[in-house]
Amino acid sequence: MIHVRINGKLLEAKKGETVLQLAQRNGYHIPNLCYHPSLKADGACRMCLVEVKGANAKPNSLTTACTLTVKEGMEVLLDTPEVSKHRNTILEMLMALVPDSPVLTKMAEEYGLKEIRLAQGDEVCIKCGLCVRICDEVVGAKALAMEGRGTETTFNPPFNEPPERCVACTSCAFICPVQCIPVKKTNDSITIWGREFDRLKCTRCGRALDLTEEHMALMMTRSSHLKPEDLNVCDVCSRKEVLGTMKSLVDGQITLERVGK
Amino acid sequence: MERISSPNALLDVIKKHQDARDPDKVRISVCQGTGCIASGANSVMASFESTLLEKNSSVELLGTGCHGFCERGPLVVIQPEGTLYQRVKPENVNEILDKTIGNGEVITKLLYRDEAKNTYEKEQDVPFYKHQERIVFAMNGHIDPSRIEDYLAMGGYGALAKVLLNIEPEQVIHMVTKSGLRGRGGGGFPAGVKWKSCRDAEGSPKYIICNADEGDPGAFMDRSIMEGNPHSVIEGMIIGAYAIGATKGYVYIRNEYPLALLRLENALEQARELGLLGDNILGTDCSFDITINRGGGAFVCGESTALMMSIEGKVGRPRVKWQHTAKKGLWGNPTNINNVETWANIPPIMDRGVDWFTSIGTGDVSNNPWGGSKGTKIFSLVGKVNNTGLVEVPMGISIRSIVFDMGGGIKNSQKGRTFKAVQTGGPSGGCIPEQYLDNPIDFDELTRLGSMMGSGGMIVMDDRTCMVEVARYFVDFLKEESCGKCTPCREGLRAMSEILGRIVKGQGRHEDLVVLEDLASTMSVASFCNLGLTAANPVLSTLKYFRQEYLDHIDKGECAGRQCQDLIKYTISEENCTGCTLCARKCPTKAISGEKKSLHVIDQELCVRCGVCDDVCNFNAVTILSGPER
Amino acid sequence: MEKTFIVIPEKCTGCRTCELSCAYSHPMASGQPGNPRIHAYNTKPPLEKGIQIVCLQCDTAACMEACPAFALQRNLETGAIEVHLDRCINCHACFNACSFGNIVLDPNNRVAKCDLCGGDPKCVQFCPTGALLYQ
Ligand SMILES: Cc1cc2nc3c(=O)[nH]c(=O)nc-3n(C[C@H](O)[C@H](O)[C@H](O)COP(=O)(O)O)c2cc1C
Ligand code: SF4
Ligand code: SF4
Ligand code: SF4
Ligand code: SF4
Ligand code: SF4
Ligand code: FES
Repeated sequence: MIHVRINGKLLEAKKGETVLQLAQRNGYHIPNLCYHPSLKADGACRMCLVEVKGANAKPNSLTTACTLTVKEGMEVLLDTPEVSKHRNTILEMLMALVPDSPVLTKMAEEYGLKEIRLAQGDEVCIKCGLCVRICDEVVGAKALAMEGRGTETTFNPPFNEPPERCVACTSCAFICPVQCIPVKKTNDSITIWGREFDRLKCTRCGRALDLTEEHMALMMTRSSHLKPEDLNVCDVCSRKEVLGTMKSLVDGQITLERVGK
Repeated sequence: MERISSPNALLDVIKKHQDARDPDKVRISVCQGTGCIASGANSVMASFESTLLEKNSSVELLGTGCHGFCERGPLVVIQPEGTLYQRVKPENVNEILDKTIGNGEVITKLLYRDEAKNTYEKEQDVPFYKHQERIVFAMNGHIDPSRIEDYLAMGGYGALAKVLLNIEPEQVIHMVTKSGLRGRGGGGFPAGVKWKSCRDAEGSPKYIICNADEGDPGAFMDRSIMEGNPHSVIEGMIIGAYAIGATKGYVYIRNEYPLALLRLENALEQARELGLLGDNILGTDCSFDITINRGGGAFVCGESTALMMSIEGKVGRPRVKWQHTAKKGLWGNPTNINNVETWANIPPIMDRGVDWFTSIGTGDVSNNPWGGSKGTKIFSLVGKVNNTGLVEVPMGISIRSIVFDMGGGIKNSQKGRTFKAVQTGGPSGGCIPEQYLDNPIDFDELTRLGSMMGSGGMIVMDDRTCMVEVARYFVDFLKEESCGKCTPCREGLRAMSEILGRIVKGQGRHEDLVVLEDLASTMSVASFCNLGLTAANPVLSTLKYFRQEYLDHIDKGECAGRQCQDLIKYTISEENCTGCTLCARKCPTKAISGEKKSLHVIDQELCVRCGVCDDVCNFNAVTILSGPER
Repeated sequence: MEKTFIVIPEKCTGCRTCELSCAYSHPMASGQPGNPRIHAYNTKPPLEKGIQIVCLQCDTAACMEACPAFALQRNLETGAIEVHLDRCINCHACFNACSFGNIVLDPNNRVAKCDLCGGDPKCVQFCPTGALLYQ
């Protein structure tokens, strides 16, 4: 066990975990905008600043909790004046970039950021990179790309055209911290990143599934156990089928046991 | 040449070449560096070749690497006297051969002439060279970089032989640490310390990388080393590989350096042929080879983690170091990365020893490799100075010596131009004002002054330089070059650029300075990589040393450097104008009118503030007004 | 994992107390009850007989294989496959993958499934007829 102090309180940390993980596990809140537990931290937004002492750290050094691996004897302070000053400047920069985000506005209220002194832009994306990374590293569709450099950096489908490799799983829209990726769902279609996909229909009842042909194909690359005939049946019809089997079992007066395994 | 079978055999080969080289032989070296080629050195070389052939002369002709004094190129040096001819044209070739080579006569018109009209015959007497201490550049100008024989004849690869024969890897690292050699690529991290942690790291294969991405605008020392003496870098890398236990090396070279690439490829081929690279180098059990990787083109690719991403075939952006690069670098394996100049320093250190190296430079590194800065540093001296080019100087020299002795002082001083500041360290360096001209400069002193060593860029600025504009220029450069990954760097630079853009237009507000300082302080602690962490230096240092200029822009609409187009007005003074009509003839928009021998006037509607009239006027009659007087 | 989850449909009356107890013991982030992860269906009215459908915690679980985020992980103590909502990216792959319809969507559109209540299944506790056992 590794011993780490957060705000003075001694905590037991697991080897290899980050300060952000340790803090979250123990109920401390560290603001973050580019971290997701299913991804390795990237350290892009810089909102999760903390102050570190001990364990060979330089005096009062600020660093990002998401990229900081715990070390024996480490002392972390979450809300020092330094931390909050720089965190607020970063938040101010983001709010100048994306002026109308409820998520950021709420953060500003929470951390006491009162005034945006910088020239305001009109973007919606805070350039955290999560959408590209999730699609790349987790979903595996690799439909999006970080393009451009510096202030011109964008996170979009390549060339900002309807993404060829997208499967409409909508994960990117889900994890976007400022919810700026619009998804339109109708009974027949899902539209995301400017591309409209047909929804598959349940082969039994015809109900629209939360699934596209493309997503199904991608899922099947993950495991040979996933078959189209199972995937394109809705949950209700799936249960109905189980019900039928169970009923015949019950009618035959057999007790069905299933081990909680 | 034949493969060499052992370190001892290598020593013999070196001896053979050394003996064969007659130091008193007449030798014409023509600089074939990129700078001189740009000013026509190729045709000068060709002309020498054909004329020598015509005359059936046995004089040795040498196409060398960069001599550093690129501004005066094409450069030709006649050995053994060391006569330096500058700005040589093909039509001068016959004369040189007839007079200088044939008769020992010096051609005065081709000599370097300083502002005071003194001429200098010998290269080593020219002030630009006289005050330099050339270790890394020692052979540039004396060898043909495409011939390994020339390098051997100067004792090259002797350090490698010595190391393989007598020095254990740990001892090599110990020596590098004791020498106090610090990374020349910007960070100034002690090379020996880095090598040790890579040697001690678990995992194989281990890699070493030579960072030849050289992205700082105006810096070209790495290019000149590779062009002028590629074997010195290769020898340094082989010694490093032996010490660290690396089996594979990469040179990550900027795409814009075709000549350096060519010279390096050629040198690698030669080294392989001699058995200096490849399996079982010189018959020992050390195996190592080098691959060249061509850069991705972005400035940030020079940052070590971005560079490794790029070698791995990914987009070159800085990545999180979960462990030190030395432990987990390229493809997760232990990796050591050093700059070109750092590698090129290794052979001389191994050859001449730690005591010799530590006798040059500042501080005491005997117990602490951070205790000082040892050896030399190559600066690329540019800007408003008479002699521009590459100067290799001992650490601890003063800026004054570089600017005034080697650089020959401020350009156009006869027109009243004076020194204002030097900007060191590349785009994210800082500006150092006059009061620190005599401070001995090294890694730590430059940082203390709010600037940095960086890769060794040094831009001299005169009183006609607006410091707000300087800050704006660098901020805009960095804004384009920031990779865009992290908020403080990307958005901080965007905001700074907007604010500075307003101030230079005279639309600044007092609060802007507070905001600039807030942005700068956050960028300097919270950015992801060193680009962002240092990106505020131009703003911070100008705010610190030249705050009044910011205030003048804001309060009075006055630009002290008379540079900001929106705040200045060109006029012609009645007192000085002789009515020579020169300015009227040169003005590109025909904004100047006036009769011969009478006062000329500038039509402000037509004037585009290009400054040509001021440049051409011989009577100092053009005045630039700014602020209330405007 | 010593205990097994036993379903005895013969004893089930289809009263759906299990569903209710499941929903209330698995509130969403908002505090509102979630959707039940167990289903009890009446075979014929009125409330004569019921059949319960609940996750089998399959050996080779389609839901787990479909999840790209490793958000479904088996709890080695209880044997239950649990959703780790912090890792979940809401792609609904698991929801589509389970061929028994045992992944459910909560009203907030997040996926949920039987987690054996961490070793103390509330449905078992509240089933009035003893049609669910955990022993
Ligand atoms: C934005 C950025 C650009 C850099 N560019 C270069 C470069 O062009 N060449 C170089 O040698 N080092 C460059 N560096 C420094 C490298 O990251 C690294 O510190 C260096 O290559 C290590 O070698 P050294 O210890 O020999 O200096 C750059 C760093 C940053 C942050
Ligand atoms: S919806 Fe498309 S772009 Fe978004 S994560 Fe899924 S596949 Fe990638
Ligand atoms: S779209 Fe959303 S997830 Fe993607 S980079 Fe922008 S803010 Fe981040
Ligand atoms: S500091 Fe700048 S260059 Fe470095 S990661 Fe951040 S945005 Fe990219
Ligand atoms: S949810 Fe479905 S697939 Fe997953 S373990 Fe339960 S029954 Fe099996
Ligand atoms: S919805 Fe969540 S748990 Fe289900 S497959 Fe997707 S990521 Fe995994
Ligand atoms: S959450 Fe740590 S930098 Fe974004």
